Amino acid sequence: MAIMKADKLGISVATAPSMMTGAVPKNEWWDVPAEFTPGKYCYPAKPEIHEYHQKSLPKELGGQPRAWDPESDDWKLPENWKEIILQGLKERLDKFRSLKIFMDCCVRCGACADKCHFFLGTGDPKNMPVLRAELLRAVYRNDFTLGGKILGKMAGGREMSFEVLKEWFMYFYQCTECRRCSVFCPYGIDTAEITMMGRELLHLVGVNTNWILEPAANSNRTGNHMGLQPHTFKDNIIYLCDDIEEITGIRIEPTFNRKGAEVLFITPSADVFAEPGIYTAMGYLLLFHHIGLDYTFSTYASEGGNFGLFTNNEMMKKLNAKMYAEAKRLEVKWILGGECGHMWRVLHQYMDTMNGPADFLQVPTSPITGTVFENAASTKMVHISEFTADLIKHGKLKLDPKRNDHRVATYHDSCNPARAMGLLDEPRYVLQNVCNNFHEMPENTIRESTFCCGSGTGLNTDEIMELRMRAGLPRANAVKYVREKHEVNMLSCVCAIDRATLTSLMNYWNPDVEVCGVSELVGNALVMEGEKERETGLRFEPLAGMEG
Amino acid sequence: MLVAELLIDRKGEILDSWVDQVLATYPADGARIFKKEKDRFANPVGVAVKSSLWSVYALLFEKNEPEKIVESLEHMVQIRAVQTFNPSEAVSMAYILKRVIKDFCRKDKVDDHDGWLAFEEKADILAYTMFDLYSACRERLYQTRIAEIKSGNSITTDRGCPSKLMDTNAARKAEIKAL
Repeated sequence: MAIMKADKLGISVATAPSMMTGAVPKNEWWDVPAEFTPGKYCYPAKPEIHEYHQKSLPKELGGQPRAWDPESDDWKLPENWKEIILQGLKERLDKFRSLKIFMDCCVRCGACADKCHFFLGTGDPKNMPVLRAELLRAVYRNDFTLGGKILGKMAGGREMSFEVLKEWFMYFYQCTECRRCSVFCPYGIDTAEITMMGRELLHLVGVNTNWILEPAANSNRTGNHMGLQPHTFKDNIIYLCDDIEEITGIRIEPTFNRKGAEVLFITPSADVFAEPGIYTAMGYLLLFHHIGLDYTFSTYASEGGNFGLFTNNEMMKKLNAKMYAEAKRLEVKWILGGECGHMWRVLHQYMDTMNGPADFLQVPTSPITGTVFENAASTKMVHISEFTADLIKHGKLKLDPKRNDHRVATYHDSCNPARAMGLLDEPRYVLQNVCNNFHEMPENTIRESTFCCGSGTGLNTDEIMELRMRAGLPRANAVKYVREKHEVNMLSCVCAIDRATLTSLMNYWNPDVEVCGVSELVGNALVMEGEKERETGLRFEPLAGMEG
Repeated sequence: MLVAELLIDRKGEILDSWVDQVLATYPADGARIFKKEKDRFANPVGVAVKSSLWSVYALLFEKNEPEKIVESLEHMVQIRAVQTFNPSEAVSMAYILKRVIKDFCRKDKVDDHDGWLAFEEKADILAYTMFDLYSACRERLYQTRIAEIKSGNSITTDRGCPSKLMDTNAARKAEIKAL
């Protein structure tokens, strides 16, 4: 709902196309302007954050730092902004063959039209992936194809204008790069990459959002989104160890920046700081202690997430590089990655050509089972769910799934691990071994067809809460179904943004469903050597039948 | 014919028209898909609107159980409350229904004043209930936003690292001192 003043509301009820007047909006999509009202856009980046990035990245990537207001008609763009955009598009068409192909090969078959969670939650045609891409494609056609240059609008071309720029800012930030639409595209067009390019071009003229640039700045400065300095990062993990000791009687002493450890463990910083991620982190700590893993945390590579993915490829490369720089500095053999979402997209699809190959590391081999993770032979980074599933498969974990009997779990395939790296069965295998009550959501809402949380790609900010709630509707709707059918009360996932945003999504749509990482349920079920009788789970919640 | 009879005899057509008009509040290209797709997971908005209106209609005009309509309405109102409608648009299903029934009365030449008043009373129950539900949903939305801010997840942008906070505090103190 747009916030309107009372006098305007009265006029709107009497005259605007609404149910009260019986009129229906009839404009064609290209005639409907993007209107920025509170709740429909993310706040622009603070100038000082913008300036900070310019210290270490080429200035032209970010445009001019300034305060600007999306609701105003003056975005304080550089005078030659159109030229910058078109030149930027040209460079990217030359540099990225995929972009050129995606611009040319769409036949507008419509297979993607009703697959986007933003479209399903809003009914807005510009949220159909085909039309969202058309916002860029029409400009491409107009300026970079012969037909478009000659015939213009008749050939589907559209001149770059401020109105088009506004639409880009509106709709490339109503795409979470989840790639569900790509699964249904007969040509395999990766719409996420179109959004990525759209956002890169917007950044060139200084059109950006604070929620993305500030975590990226923090990540660059302190190593993590939260801006946690080394001592704080360490302290937070020690607090979690204190809680673990209270719950299990076991004292865990993790190490930090320890050279020569076998494994470097990297997870999203939200796991060591914010609920409910911290319970997932407690699960990791218990697991590593249980198997006696020789690992260390880095207080600089203290973030899995990479908000560069939502900004430009140079920033993505820079933030990804620090993980490998740390692995090299600490002389570890390989990297184990926590329950992060888009980190795995960056890892599996861009790492090798950006910063790889990581040939100073070894092909990951589980020191406990001897399994060689051939799938990670190039990136040298293994997902915690693969690692845990392998341990369970080899009978290396002592588990008591009854400790999760107070949970009736379902599993949300986090978009990037599911669609960008094919992690579909491992988390399910883990869940089926650590809890007795597990129910799948309907088939067309899971695995490759999973619905996004609605808040990925740096859209997890509270100023667009309504937008996030409607984008998350398809996911919440499937959870509602299993809640009613199987009394599901726990939505598990393997992504830190999911853990934060699905919590809000559930608060609104299904308030009695909680959210957790898969590793939290592992931590609950692990029977630790020398532990005291457990009366509560990792959230200090009473366990069913063990109330003492 | 009486209004009560019309509501039963022409139920299917009335509901089709009602559902169509409610879905027509979405952009035409979106509404087309919302009307067509039957799978509730592939089309959460369209299916919720349709099932909600059918269920409410049965409770009000067939079973005469207006006290039970909340459950049938809740999910649809939850959806409408976070879409870009003005509040009046979001919850005006009762008024749309009145318009639909007026059209049918006109077409079928139904002249039943008492029957209309009885119908209108039920439609008003629907209007009031939706208003209450809408307000509750908006309240829940705000609570969700507050809970998220309090959870610490917002710290990524709204605060800096401790040293940055010290700078800000020092600047603030200097400002106060200057006053």
